[in-house]
Amino acid sequence: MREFSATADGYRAWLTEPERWLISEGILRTIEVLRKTYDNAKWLIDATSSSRNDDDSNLSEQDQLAAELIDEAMGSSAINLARPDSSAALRLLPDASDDPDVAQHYRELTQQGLTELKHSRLVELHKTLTNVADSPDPAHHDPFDVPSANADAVLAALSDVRLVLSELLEIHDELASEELQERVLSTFFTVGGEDPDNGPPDVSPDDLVAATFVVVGYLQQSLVDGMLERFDPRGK
Amino acid sequence: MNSSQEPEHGVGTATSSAVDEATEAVLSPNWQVLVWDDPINLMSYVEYVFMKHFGFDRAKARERMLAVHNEGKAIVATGSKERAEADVQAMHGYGLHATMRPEPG
Repeated sequence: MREFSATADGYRAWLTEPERWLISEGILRTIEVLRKTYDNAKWLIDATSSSRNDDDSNLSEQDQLAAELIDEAMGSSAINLARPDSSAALRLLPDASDDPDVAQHYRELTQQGLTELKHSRLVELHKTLTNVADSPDPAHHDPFDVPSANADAVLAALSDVRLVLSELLEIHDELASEELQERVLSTFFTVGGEDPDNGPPDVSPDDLVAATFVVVGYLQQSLVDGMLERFDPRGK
Repeated sequence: MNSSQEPEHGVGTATSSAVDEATEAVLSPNWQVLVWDDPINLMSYVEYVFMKHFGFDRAKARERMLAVHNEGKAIVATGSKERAEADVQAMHGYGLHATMRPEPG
């Protein structure tokens, strides 16, 4: 991965195909969490799960299909305005108050809009990341361009992905976050090396989630650094 | 308005004005918007969000971000309930943990 740097009209990072896959999986997990706040799309649990298994060679297409299915279903579904029952969903849609009446009133006002906003940003980011021809060389980097006009949305979507992954990884304090980062670096990276993809190490599914969390963090950090450099108060 | 204003003339006017203000304060208290620390969101990201949404300059955004980080939470805005709801919604949109509460009397 080469982190974001500024271009004439936005920001550009460079990602390998395995890195794109990791990030797109993280996005799909986040979409799944949002989807579970909906009332009537239970069948999509199976559709999404089955698209992740079995045939690795076709994952990108299948994942895209899953995202499109979710997109379609969410567009026609009633949103559940109750308090989400999973800790991951609560990271995306937290309580707005200690007062249950205030918190519920707030959910009724905002939950549908917030869910749709987060969902549309994630689907858009997923499409951008997966709309690249596969390369036979896992070390090959393709550009990941974020126009300035979309940078806020990408930044916020990356934040949502990290929030959901942190719940899956049970990261509840900064020490745990730092330890996880060190573990990922020692598992996937050699000193002075660049990519985690030369000869797949023996890793567990949790290691992949952890790697996704770290990669998304690096991307978000470099993007926000670039945006702070260029921040124009008049653009508010 | 604020207490530095000149008092109004006439006892009756001043009294009724004070009653009106007290009633208004009870019916429509100011609400505070708090942002809470979390171990996930990057400090620079929180700083950026404060600049972008609240229009803080970089120094103030950094100062508020550090207050969140060091003290666990910080008040970032005060205003009507509707304004607070909009601010909390914006913070949640960015993935920050924000809450609202009536301003302590």
